[in-house]
Amino acid sequence: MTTINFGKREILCKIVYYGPGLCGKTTNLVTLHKTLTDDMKGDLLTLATETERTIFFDMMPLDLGAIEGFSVKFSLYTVPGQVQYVNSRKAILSGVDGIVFVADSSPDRWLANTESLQDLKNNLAEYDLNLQTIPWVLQYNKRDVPGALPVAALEAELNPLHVPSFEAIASEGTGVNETLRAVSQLVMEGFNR
Amino acid sequence: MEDSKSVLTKLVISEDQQKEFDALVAQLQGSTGASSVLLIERSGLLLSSYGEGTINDLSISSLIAGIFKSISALTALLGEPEVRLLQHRGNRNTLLLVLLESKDLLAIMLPPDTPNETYEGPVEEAVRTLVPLLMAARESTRNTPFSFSKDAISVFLGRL
Repeated sequence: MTTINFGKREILCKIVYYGPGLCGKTTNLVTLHKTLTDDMKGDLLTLATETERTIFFDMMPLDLGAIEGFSVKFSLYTVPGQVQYVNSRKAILSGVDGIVFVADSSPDRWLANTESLQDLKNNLAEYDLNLQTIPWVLQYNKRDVPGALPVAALEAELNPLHVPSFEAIASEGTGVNETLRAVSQLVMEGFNR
Repeated sequence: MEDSKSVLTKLVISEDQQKEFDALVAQLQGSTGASSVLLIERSGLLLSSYGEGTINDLSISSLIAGIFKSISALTALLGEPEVRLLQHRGNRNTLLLVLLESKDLLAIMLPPDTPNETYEGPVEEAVRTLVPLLMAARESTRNTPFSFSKDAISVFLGRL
């Protein structure tokens, strides 16, 4: 839920990175945390297992500065991608303002991508939301893996709504900022809804 | 994507409403002797805080919202009633977490070993006052248009 606060002249928004396990959601946040200037970012909070798999969520506050006298702050969340954490994913989507769906380009992750997108649809439905209404973008991550799934095939399967999509190698920083910029733009354009 | 955007919700807080939140949170801090009080919107965004600054109020807010989401999901699975109050008595803080009727959250950090009777009354009073205020803020949001131009947004996001 976007909070527009005239008292504090502040706007708070929640963006969630969603996708199958090991697709690179946390890597997106880690990369952002490394590359953004100190005045733009807060601490990166991670709730992970000993093997660094996200168990509940990661969260990073992002302060983009001011627009027309309003300070704009985003809370960036990731969900745990592993199938069994469905209830955690549902909880984290509460009050979501925008979504980045991170698809894994690895050749053996076709099914994982489609299942995760369906899982997202199911969980959004719990909040009376759907992909036709919520601001979201797609990121095709791991474009550097050998035999990466063709972007055209991923687009045809995952993006029938033709939302903005980006090729990325999150571990190297490629496509990470572009993705965040695009979803932020959609969220902010949606303030008048 | 244009035709059905009205499904999504936002919360607009006016200057007067924010003043009321801030005053209530400050009053609660004073009357309980808490080191810090946070008012947190149901999805984990911080609405108001008073007292000693914590290391990371935003992270704390998101974690507290996560705690209640987890507990709510757990109790629903077990067929138990919703948990409204959580208390942690630690070495440095007694942490009191309250789920309001509006589903927003109040976090109160008290000195360790604070007796219950010190804070129970003030907290109950604050909850009674906060809930209608939060509900009124959600209601008034419907009639508060707010937007930025596409160009202004593009320029603004150029920092990323």
